[in-house]
Order: sequence, then structure tokens, then C-alpha cells
Amino acid sequence: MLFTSVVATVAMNTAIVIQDQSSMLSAPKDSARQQAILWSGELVEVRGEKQNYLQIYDYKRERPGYILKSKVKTLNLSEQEAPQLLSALRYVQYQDNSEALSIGIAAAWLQSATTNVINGSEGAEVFNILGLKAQQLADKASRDIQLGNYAAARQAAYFDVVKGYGVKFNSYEYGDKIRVCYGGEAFRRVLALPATDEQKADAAIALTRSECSDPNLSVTDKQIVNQWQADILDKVDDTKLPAWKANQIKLRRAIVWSNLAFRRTLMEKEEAGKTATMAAENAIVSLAGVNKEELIESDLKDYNNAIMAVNASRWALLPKNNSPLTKAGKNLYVEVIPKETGESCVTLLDEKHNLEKHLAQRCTFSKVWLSSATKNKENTALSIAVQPTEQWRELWVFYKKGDNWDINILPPAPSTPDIGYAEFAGWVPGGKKILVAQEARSEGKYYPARYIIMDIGSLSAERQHNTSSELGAFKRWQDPSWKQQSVSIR
Amino acid sequence: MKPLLSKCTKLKWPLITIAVLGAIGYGVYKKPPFTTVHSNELGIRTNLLTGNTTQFKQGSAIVIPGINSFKRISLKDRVLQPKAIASSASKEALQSLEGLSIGANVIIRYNVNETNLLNTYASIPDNDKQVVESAFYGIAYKIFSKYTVREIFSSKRDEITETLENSLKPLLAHDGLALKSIQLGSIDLPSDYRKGMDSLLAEELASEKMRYTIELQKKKLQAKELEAESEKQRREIAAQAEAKTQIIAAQAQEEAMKHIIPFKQRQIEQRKLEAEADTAARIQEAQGNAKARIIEADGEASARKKLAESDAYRIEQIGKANANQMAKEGELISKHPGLIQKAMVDKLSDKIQVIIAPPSTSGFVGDNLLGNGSRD
Repeated sequence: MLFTSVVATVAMNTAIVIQDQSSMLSAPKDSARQQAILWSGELVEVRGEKQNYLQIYDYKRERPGYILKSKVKTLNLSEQEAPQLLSALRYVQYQDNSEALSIGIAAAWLQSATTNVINGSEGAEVFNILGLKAQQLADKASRDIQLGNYAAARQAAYFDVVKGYGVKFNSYEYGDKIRVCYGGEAFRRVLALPATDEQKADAAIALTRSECSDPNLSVTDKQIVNQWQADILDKVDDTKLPAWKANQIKLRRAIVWSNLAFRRTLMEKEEAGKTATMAAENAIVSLAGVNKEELIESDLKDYNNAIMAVNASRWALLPKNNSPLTKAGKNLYVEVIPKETGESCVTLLDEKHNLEKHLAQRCTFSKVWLSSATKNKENTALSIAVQPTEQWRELWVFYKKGDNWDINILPPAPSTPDIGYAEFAGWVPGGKKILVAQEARSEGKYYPARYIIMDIGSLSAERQHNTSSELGAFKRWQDPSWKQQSVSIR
Repeated sequence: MKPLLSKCTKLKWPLITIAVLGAIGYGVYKKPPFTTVHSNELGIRTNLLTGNTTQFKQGSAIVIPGINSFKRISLKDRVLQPKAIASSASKEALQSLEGLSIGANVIIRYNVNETNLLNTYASIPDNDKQVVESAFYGIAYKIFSKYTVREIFSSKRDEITETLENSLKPLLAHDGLALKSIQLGSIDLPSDYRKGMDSLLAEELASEKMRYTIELQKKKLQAKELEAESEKQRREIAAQAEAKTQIIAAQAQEEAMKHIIPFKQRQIEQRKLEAEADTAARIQEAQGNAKARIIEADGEASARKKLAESDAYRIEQIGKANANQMAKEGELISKHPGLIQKAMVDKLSDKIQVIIAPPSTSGFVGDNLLGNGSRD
């Protein structure tokens, strides 16, 4: 448990190291041999005093020594000392490289304060600071930059110091990178304490970071985690938050609910279908509630991610999973035939063809959004949305090639599936061209929203622009339902 | 007297008729020729002259005295409890297989056999209880003597009851009666035996209880096993379902990856083509640059050559001009030697005061100015 080690370490006479690279010497003089290097935030036991040195014992290293008085702050960890520690923490938290010291002071405060105080608003404040500092430390370690020798040593030392206080971190491997994430216990405590709305918002945002979700979780566990995250975010009253903070909560909600919408549609029960619709609706409502004027620059990435995630799962909003294309007349239509292997076979049919003798068929393990099926006026092409993962939606285009039918598949980006969509935006009369919208983030690269006129046969771009209104074809032939339902256009 | 007698004779027959009618009326009044059959009863009327019988249910029936006889038969259940065998101390007590006297509290329920009653009613005894009792005794002693006390007391009560019923039923049927049931109640044992029997039964009961407890435990165990089995199966199914979901998700991802490959390849080819085009463009540019430099160098060389030639020509011309000029100047100086000094003075600054002096002995006009004149 958190801070249990602190209880064991702190004694009546304790001191916290307040400066980095403080030397612990073997004798009370500058020229004495250096026993160890202490970093800010470390706790040591004070056993005596000699000249301007304190005689200390470092339990972690199991070593006694001397340290200059100016390098440490002595503590008695009494109830009376708690307010002073809290004041110090309030200032120290804003200093650069103060993660270990802040967490050390927070731990000392937790040791000094009474249970009632810890369970009150001050407790929530301290846990919030502690969580934020731990998260800051983890974020620094996850940054993809080369550190200098001193900075690297300091980072490693800080981790060592805060781990000594029971702060836990998780490491996840994403491709060739390692992401360090704070375990989040302090934030969970904030949510349970009488915290302010802003503190709760901070905690909820920290606990629902998609980059800190375990990539090795099973599909079922991911759904459970997503549901838990949605519950946490729903507990935050965003109406009482500043607009920019409320935006953060809404963006996070949009992402979490869109993930849930996709997961729930995969469940076979009918009830799940209803809850999936509800989840998709929640996602869209959350995204629509974002005040763009108040969006801060650092949230722009989250904003784009939210748009892509919501757009990827937006077809879950339609309750009926039926094709809008009917069997009547000479029209083309599609049917999805489930297989025992778990695959869904998208089958292209018309009045002259049946399931045994179809025009074209393609089986997939992905989610086929049957309600997205649409065909051109010439009856020579049909597009349908297919979603392989919770945040990645492809566009499938069946097209007539001579007397036969073929299929082209357009992914959101030519990159490892992560987050993005490729979607139908309209048919260009003549039966040769299709309007498409694409946006993705993958392998650390962002492919901004693009509106493309594509050749149906090759799915190669003929013209494209990052604003749909700049393309004449989009002005004239964009599909009204696409314009109405898609969140691609900001 | 005669008239009085004749009057009486005249009145004789009417009086007799009145008397007879009165007697009949009285008789009917006193003993009406009707009878009533109540519910739960059956009535059998027999014509004494012809021997015909008629059955009546609830209601009234005409019964003419002297011509008809009428019999009411109750349809209610009758119960008999043979008292003589109730106590083990009684002389008529039953005997068990072991020869022990036992009493049995038996309740026999029977009734009149309603079917074919017109033929059998005559055989129904008026003292049916005695008939049934004697018939029962006739079979009870035989049957009870085939069983041990323990069997009679507990384990074979049902069998004994059934045997009694099966044996008594035909006997009663013979008398127009129908046996409904025999209930074997408490068994009265000799007091000493009773004690031993009770303890024995208690032991048996205990062992029985133990058996049931063990069975119960076994059942519980089986139930738990079944529960565990079903839980295991449920988990297995859940695990299989989860594994399947996981596999489907992974395969969907793999599929998505496959869909990217052609685009990646296209991108690679595009980049390759771009690189090739870039290389070709660079080569062309380099060649162009090289040619341009050659051209530039050639141009420069010829330009320099021309420049040099023009310089040489210019120098030659200047030399010629100078030579001409010098020749002309030489001629002029020869004619006017003071011109040298004048030219010198013209070149000096205005601020310098110049005194034209006669040429020195050395012949140089500036010697005096430069102080060379004092050397002498």
C-alpha cells in the first residue's frame, strides 16, 4: 500500500533532503570522504548534530553519515507541523524538477496530519498534487528525447526516491517505445475524498489516458476498463469547471464512449445493441459539447483524436443494423452472412443473384456497418464501412469491372492501424469517381483530415484538399447524409 | 216394528259402504301407502305377489301394505373397530410368528355394494357389523401369525394392511358389501417386549438416521460436484468465448494490416520512382551544370584572351604613344630646359612656396629644395 514504507522509515527526528546531489559525508567536514549522494525528497533519520552538520542515518542505503544542515529540512512530523508542510508543498509543486521533493513533502504531510484531515479537502489537495507530480515524472521518462548525463541521473534517482514512498509505475511497450505511466492510486483517492470539481476533473483525466491503458489487456478486460473510465468521467460535473477544463473532460468522454460503443456492438445480445447506441450517442453529445473557442493548444491532439474515434464508431448510433438498400427493383444490395468462425461475409446481390450465386463476396473478422451501405446511381459501385478495431474504420468499395465485380479497400492511412477513418462522402456522377474523407494518427504521425476525389477502380487520389469546400466536386456532389452525420468537418 | 225394520234394511248397505270407506280412510290415514327415500339411501320395493323388485333413489314410493314390501338400505360408510384384538392382554389377542400376543388397533371401513344391488340386496345381512367382524377375525389371525412382531410393528405394516384388504374384500362382496379400507393403527405389545423393541427401534432409527445423514452428505457432495462442474463448464465456455473474441479481434487487426500493405507497397514504389526521378533530375542538373561551367570556362578563357590581347594592344599603343610623347618632350626639353622645373613645381602643393632657382651644379632642379645643395 501507498506510504506504508514511509511509516516504517520515519522516526521522531527526521529530515527531508531539499537539494539535489547532497553529499553524505563520513565526517563533519567538507574534505571528508563522500558516503553517498542524496537527492531531493529523500528522508533520513537525524541522530545528532555537530557544528554545521547533522549526523544522519540513511535506512535505504543502510549507512550513517553527515550532511550539511543547509541541505536538509528537519521534521518532527507532528500534527502541528502539517499546515507548514502543506504550505511548503503548495509552493514547491510549481518548481521545475520538484517531483521527488513534492512527493516527499506530501508523504511527510500524510504522516503528520490526522486521519480526519487526510479524509478532508486538504487530503484531496495533497493526493492531487502527489498524483500530478508522479504523472509528471512518468511523462518526463516517456519523452522521446536524449537526456544529458546529469538529467538522466536525476531522473533515475527521482524514480528511486518516489518508489521508496510506495508510488507505483507501470511500463508499457508500444512498438519500439516504452511508455511509463503512474499507477494512479492517489487519483483514485482524490475521487473518493471531498475534492473540488477541478481536482476531480484532474483525477478523472489522469485515470482515463488512453496511452496509459495496458495494451496487453484482453478484449473483455478492455471493455471493463472502458466502462470504469466512463463511470469516473460521468461523476465529474463539467458545468462547474472552467471551459478549457470542461473541454478536456468532454474530449475524454467522447473517446471512452466511442470505444464502448464499438465494443458493445460486438456483443451478440440484443440489449447490448441498445446500450451501444446509447454509448455512441454519449460520445457524439460529448464531442458536440466541446467549446472550440476555449480549446487550449495542448488539447488539440486530444481534440483530433476524439473526432477520429467518434467518427470511427459513429455508425453504432443507428439502432437498426439493416441495409438501407432494399431488395426491390434492379437495385444492388448487400447482406452480411455470419460464419461459425466469427467472420462476417459481405455479400453483394441484386435481383438476379442469390446467396449461392452472388455478385461478389468478401469475408472479414471486422465489424461490418450494414447501415452504412450506399450505391451510386449508375449501379456500378457500392460502398460500405468496415471497422476492424475500436478506433480504425475502413472504406470498402465494390465496383463493376467489365462484367464482374471487384472490391477495393481503403484504410485511413497507409500505416499501422491505430486511430482514424476513411469514409464515403459522395458519388461523382458518371460512375467513375467517389468522394472520400480520410484522417488518421498512426506510428506517431498525424495525417490531417483530407477530402479526396478518387478513382473508384484504383482508389488513387485525383484531387485532394484539407478543406472540403475548396473542392468543387465536394460542393456539388457530397452526400447530404454524410455531411449531416460525419464529424469529420470541424 | 216392521216399518222400522224395513227402514233399517234399506239403510244397511249404505251404512256398510260408509263404514268400509271410513275404515279404509282411517287405515290410509293411519298407515299411508307411501314411503320416502332420503338422501344417502336406496329403497328396494318388492311385489309380494309377483316377486318383482324396483329400486328407488331419493324421493317417494308407493308401498301398498300387503302387496308390497319395502327395504331401505343406507349408503353411508360404516366403520368397524374390532375391540377384541385391540389389546395384547386380551384373550382374543392376535399372535405373531414368534407366538407373542399382540393387540392391533384396526379400523375397517366398508359400505353396501351399490352395483347390482337389486340382485344382492337380499344377501345383505341386517347385522352387517357382526358379519364383517367375524369375517375379519377369520383372516386376521392367519395373516398376523405369518409376520414377526418387528415386521408388524414397523417394517411391513403396509404389506399386512394390503393383505388384510385383499383377503377381506371377496368375503364381504359375497354379502353384498364393499370394503373401502383397512387402517392398521397402533400395535399393542407386551410391556417388556415393548421396551426392548423401542430401544431396538431407536438404534435402528439412529442407524437409519446415520444412513440418511451419510446419504445427505453424499448428495450434498454430489450437488457441490455438480455445481463445481457446471461452474467449471461455465468458466470454460466463458474462457472459450473470450478466447474467440480475442482471436477475432486479433484477426481483424491483422486483416486491417493486410489492407495497408498494398498502400505501403504503392507508397514504397512511389518513393522509389520519386527517388529515381530525383536521381535522374540531379544527374541532368549536374550534367547541365558541368556543361554550363565548361561553356562558362571557355567563355572566360576566350574573354581573358581577348582581354589580354586588348591589354597587349593597349600597352603597345600606350608604349608607342609614350615613346612618341617622350620623343616630343625630349625635343621640347632640348629646346626649353626650364620646363622640367616648371613641371616639378606644378606637381607640388599650393601651400609650398617655390623659388625658382638656377639649375644646380648637379643639374637637378630639386637639389636645393631637398637640402642636397648644402652637402657641398
